[in-house]
Amino acid sequence: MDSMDAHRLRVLVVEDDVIDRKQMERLLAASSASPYDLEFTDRLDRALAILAERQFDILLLDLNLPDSEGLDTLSVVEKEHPDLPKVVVTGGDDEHMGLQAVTRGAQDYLVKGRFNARALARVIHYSIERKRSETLLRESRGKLNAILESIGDPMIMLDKDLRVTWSNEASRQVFCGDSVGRTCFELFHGRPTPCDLGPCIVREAFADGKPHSYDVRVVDREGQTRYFHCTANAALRDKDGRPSAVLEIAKDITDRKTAEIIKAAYDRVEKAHRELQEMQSQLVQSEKLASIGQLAAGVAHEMNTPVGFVACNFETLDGYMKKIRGLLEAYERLLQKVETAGEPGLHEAARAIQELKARIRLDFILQDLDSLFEDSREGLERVTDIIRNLRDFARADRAGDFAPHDINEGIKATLTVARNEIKYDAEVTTQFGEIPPVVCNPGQLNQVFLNLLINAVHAIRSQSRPAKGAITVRTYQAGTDVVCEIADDGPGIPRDHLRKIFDPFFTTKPPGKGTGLGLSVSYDIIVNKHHGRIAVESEEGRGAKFIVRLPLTYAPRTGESVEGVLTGVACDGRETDDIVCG
Amino acid sequence: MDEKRTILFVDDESRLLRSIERGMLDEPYYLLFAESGPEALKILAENEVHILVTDMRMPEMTGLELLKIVKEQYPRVVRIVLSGYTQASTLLTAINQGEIFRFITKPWKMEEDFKPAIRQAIEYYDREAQRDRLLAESAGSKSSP
Repeated sequence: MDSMDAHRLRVLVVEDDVIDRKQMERLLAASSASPYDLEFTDRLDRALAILAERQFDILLLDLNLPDSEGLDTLSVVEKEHPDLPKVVVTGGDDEHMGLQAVTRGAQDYLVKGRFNARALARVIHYSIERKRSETLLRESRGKLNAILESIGDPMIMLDKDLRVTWSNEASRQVFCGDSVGRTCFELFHGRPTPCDLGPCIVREAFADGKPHSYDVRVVDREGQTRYFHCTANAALRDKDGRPSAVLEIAKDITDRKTAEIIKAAYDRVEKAHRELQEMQSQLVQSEKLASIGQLAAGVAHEMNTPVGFVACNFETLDGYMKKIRGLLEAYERLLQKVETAGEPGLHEAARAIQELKARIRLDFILQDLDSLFEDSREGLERVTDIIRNLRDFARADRAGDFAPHDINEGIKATLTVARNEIKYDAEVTTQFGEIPPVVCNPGQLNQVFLNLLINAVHAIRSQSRPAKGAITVRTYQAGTDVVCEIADDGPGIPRDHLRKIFDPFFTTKPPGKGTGLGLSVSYDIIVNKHHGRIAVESEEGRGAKFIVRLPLTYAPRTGESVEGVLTGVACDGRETDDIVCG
Repeated sequence: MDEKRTILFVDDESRLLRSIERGMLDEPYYLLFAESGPEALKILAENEVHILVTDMRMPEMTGLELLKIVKEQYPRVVRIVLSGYTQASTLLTAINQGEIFRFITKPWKMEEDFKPAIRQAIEYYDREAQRDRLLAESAGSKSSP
């Protein structure tokens, strides 16, 4: 009590009863422990006036004054001078009022005629000290509260019934104004009962006493969408250590979340852009393939007429030769007759013919004529075949129509087209099964077969082996599918590549040698355009087998056309190598 | 029906026409040749033609245009196409608009495809002609008292 020793205690006594006042004065004077500066007044209004002017260490207040009665007297003073220590003085018959006064701001009470000097001194000192403690407590609590209030993160304290027992300013601002007394499920989720869906960090914190957190999107009182990282942790515990109150802190992560959302949106846009690029590349690639097909068809058509009349002439020539040969035989017989006849002039002429026959080796010519015609006919048939196959290969390129088509014929046509690419590196074995026609776009399917065949032969070629490789093409029906398998005995595909080979731009070829689009275009044609499936089976070092399955049940919508989209797209057909990928 | 039938071949490639001429040398037909649609129409106007064999893609007048005119003006002439175009669309228009009897693709085989097609066309022509005659006769007998 250093502060009190430093000066005399200033005591204001408010008492209208003169006898009581004298008594008080006497008792205070008798207390030798501390000297007092006493001042007396008899009315409340006067007391207030005095208090307004000067400082006192304590107020001794009779509740019943001429201008004020009962507890109201205390209330008036308490309101104006909350920091002043107060002791009320009551009459012997209303001691209960003293007890009430203590709950309303008085530090203690005295009952008239029932205290002595020592008790009075003790009441005064304890009251001053109690007031000082209360003030300190209030100040520190206020400070603590101010700190909590000033924290920008919304905070609420919840009891076991999930009722808010305390909230800070940020919480009131952001969420729901004054929330004390309301439940979190009603406040934040608009529910009449606790949330039964999913985990709740508050209940979890109550259950195990550990911190729990989650991110939540909140529309605040101003209608702004904000994101919070909420953490619930046991704040208070009962005597057994179990959480009795949980503090939930909501950290505003709107900026971070917004950045994340923008990043996600950006990623999506970037992905879409990449997909578009891929799609465009595929379109260009499809266009390129289509133009190769058209070129093939154009060449085939140009060749039709000359090959047509050459073949026709050749057939006629064959007929002519047969006639000429007959004639020659007749001449031969005549010649023999002339020689035997022995007429000198004719004899000479006959010998000249015989010499000519020997010189031009007529016997050989006549003998060779058969095989010459046979070989030439074979050659012409082959050219005719190539033209027909070229035509078949490219058939649907322009129309883009779906029509029933014999897959076996398509593969035969494709093999003709790819023959030159294949023949030095691999032998092709075909096992064509009995298969019904498939409704498809034959030109597109042939592109797929071409891709697979060229990939197979390139794979074989990459091994630079002494002998030719083997490519096996097999078709068969399996249930409602027509299946085409194209297998090679090349190097196979490494396991980690298997998943990627149908991805656009995936290639194992050196730059400039392949676009990595062949298989992705094939995939697109089979899976997206024909609702079929394409799969690969391969083991490194043991070749690869591509399996194309086409459903017999698929009926495309009328007018479904891919090429239609391509109309007007510029294309260049320079790099034919681009149609394949590793 | 032992009278000789007349076949008109139309193609803008004269070498092709000559190869046909050689190939058909031993066949019992009169052969006429035109290198364009208009020339073919001129020949049709001046001669009795029974069979028309035409290419599809030609300058001046396409085979399809020629076929349509012939169908209109000389409906009894049996029409055959000799073309390299085997696209469904080409075939369908030729069949639907030109009402053709056969479609022979280039290159063709004279003995296997070409001559049989011509023979069948002539048989068809003769059958049609006979039917018309019988119809006319029956109509004539009915009308007579």
